[in-house]
Amino acid sequence: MPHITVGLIGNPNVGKSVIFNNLTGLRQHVGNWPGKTVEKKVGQLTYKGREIKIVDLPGTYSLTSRSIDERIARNYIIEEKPDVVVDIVNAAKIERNLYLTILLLELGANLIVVLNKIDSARKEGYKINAKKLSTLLGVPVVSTIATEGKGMDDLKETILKAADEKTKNVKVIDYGEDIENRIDSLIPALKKDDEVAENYPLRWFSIKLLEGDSEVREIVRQHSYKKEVSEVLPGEL
Amino acid sequence: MSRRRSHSKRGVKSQRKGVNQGVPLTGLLEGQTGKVLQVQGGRGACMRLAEMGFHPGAVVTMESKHSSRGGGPIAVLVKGTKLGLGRGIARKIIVKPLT
Repeated sequence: MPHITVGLIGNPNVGKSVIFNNLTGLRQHVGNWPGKTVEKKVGQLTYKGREIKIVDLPGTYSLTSRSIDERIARNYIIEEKPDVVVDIVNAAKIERNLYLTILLLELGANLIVVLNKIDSARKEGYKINAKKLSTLLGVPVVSTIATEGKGMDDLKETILKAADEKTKNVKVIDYGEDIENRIDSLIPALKKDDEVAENYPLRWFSIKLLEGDSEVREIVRQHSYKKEVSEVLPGEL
Repeated sequence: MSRRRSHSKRGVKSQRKGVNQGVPLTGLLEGQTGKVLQVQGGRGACMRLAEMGFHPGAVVTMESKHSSRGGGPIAVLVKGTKLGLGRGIARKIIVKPLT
C-alpha cells in the first residue's frame, strides 16, 4: 500500500511540535525548504502496517502570500497535496485558532481538526462539543492532551481513516449576497484556464482574488482569460 | 472583504456613529477593556489586523503601555493571546471603552 503523507499545521504555540514528536518518536530529521532558512521537519511512523510521512509546517495564524512561512504552508498544501492535513487547534483559544481552520477548509485540504490542550480549555471553563464541531465543519475532530500523550492513538486511527475516505468539501462560510455573487461570476471565468482549474480550488482562488491577494492576482495577470476576470473585478487587477 | 462591505451606505453610517463614541486603542489605560469599532487603514492593514484578532466587535484588553511618554510598543490581549503592537498601527484601531 502507498504511504500516507500528512501535513501538520497550526497557530504558533499550540503544541504542534509535541504532537509531531509523539507521532514520530525519535525518527524525525530536520530539512530545509529551498531558498529560505525556515525549516520543515519530516518524520515517519508505521501504524497498523501503513507508512505515514509527517511534515511539520511553520506555525502560522493565516495563509496569505505576505510572509514566507505562510506561503510555504499554503503552497505545500496546494502543490504537494498531502493526503491528510492535521490542523492543531489550541482548544483554550479556539476562537482565534478556528480562523486558520476555515482557511484550510477553503483551500480544499482533507482536514482533521485536533483540539489540543483540551484540559486547559476545561480548566478555563470551556465545554466544547467536539461532535457538533465535527458536523459543522464537515471534518473529523479529535481531542488530545499532547503533553500527556493522550488522544494519540485516536489521532493515528483518524489519519488512517481520513486518508482512505477524503472528506467532502462543505461550504462553511457564506459571505453574503454581494461577495457570493462575485464568486459565482469568477468561477466560470477561472475555469477557462486549465492550469488554474487543475491546480487550485476555484472558490478559494476567487475569494483570494476578491481579497486582493498578490500571488493569486499575479497568476491572473499572466493568463489569457484576464479580460473575463477583470469584468467581475473592474479596475482591480 | 470586510472593508469592501463597510463601504455600503449602512456601513458608513454606523461607522460614523461608531467613531464618535470611540477612542484610539492607545487611549485605553492599562487593565482597561474595549471593543473594536473600526480599523482606520487600507486594505492591507485592515486584513492583517483582522487576522491577528482586531476586527470590529473583538474585545481587547490593554496589558501594558510601558513608556509614560507615549512612545514605544504596547501589549494588548485579544482572543486569549497577548500581542505587541507599534503605536502607529495601534492608533488606527478605534475602540469603545467598556470598563
